[in-house]
Amino acid sequence: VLDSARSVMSEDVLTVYDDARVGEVIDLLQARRISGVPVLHRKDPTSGGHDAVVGVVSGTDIRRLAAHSQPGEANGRGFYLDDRSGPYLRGLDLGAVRDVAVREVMSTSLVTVAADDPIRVCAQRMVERRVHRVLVTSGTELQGIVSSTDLLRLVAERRLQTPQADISPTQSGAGEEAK
Amino acid sequence: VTTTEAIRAADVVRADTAAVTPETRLREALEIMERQHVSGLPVIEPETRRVVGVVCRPLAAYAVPAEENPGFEVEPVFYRDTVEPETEAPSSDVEAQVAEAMSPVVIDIPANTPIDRLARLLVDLELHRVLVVEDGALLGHVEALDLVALIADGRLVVPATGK
Repeated sequence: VLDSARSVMSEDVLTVYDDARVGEVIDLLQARRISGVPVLHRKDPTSGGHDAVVGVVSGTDIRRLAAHSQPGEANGRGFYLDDRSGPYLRGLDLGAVRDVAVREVMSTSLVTVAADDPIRVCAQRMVERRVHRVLVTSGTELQGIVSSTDLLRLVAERRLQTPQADISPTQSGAGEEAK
Repeated sequence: VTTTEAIRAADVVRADTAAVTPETRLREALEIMERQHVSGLPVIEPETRRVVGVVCRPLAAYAVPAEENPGFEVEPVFYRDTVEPETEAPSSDVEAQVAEAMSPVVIDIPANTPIDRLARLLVDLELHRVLVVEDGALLGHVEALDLVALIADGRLVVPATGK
């Protein structure tokens, strides 16, 4: 069915582990031209289960770290706002921050929906939080990402429509008749 | 009518878009960006409101040839960015005019453009923001989230399917 986060989400999501180094993230962001990635905490190998999503990290967070040599207030906006624009990693001494652990710089702010949530809920979450991406999760398990572009694509492909006219025309015309 | 053609750019346009002219001092343009929490402004001819470019910060970023940073600065940040802007580096000559620092890239659509075509433009060019013009004059701009809001508000819905 079209009407769910599952039907529009990207399941093939690039991620990093929270014990990875910032250098790995920089390379990934630059090679893939993306703004940020979700951060996973490794599952406990003895107990099975799955990796848990614990945060997001973005070029904006890394830029802040490099510019101020200590993590800024990582609010995740770089990730959720899809900030690929601007010279965000240029002219900074990135060598100084490459060895910092991802968990030190990531934002733990998670904006999520469930896979069965209607796309309207995805849209509402984006508008309320003013973000361009929401994580699709089941508990702590990351299932995918829905971006504003995924929703815009539905509009571009004319897969959405304006609501059907109300089936009680007498009611809608009543106000005019009264004059 | 139940198609997306029923909704046009004019129905979702933000008409309060701040703009400057080529003669505006950069200092003033930066102050407007600061006040409005935006990273760029359209540049218009004062008489006609015709758009001639955009000015974005950090100003210095646009003085660098694009080939030195391929992929990241094809379009000025104005059309993409929705993030809190960077603080301007003190080295910029803020007493110069906007014309000295603006980008001539104009990405705009007529106000009567149906939103499915507007969405197509944003998706294909990976933009988050586009200017809207009427009779060649700046009317305002539309952001990607303004179209998302149509879905959030139930003004665009998934067609009912016969189960």
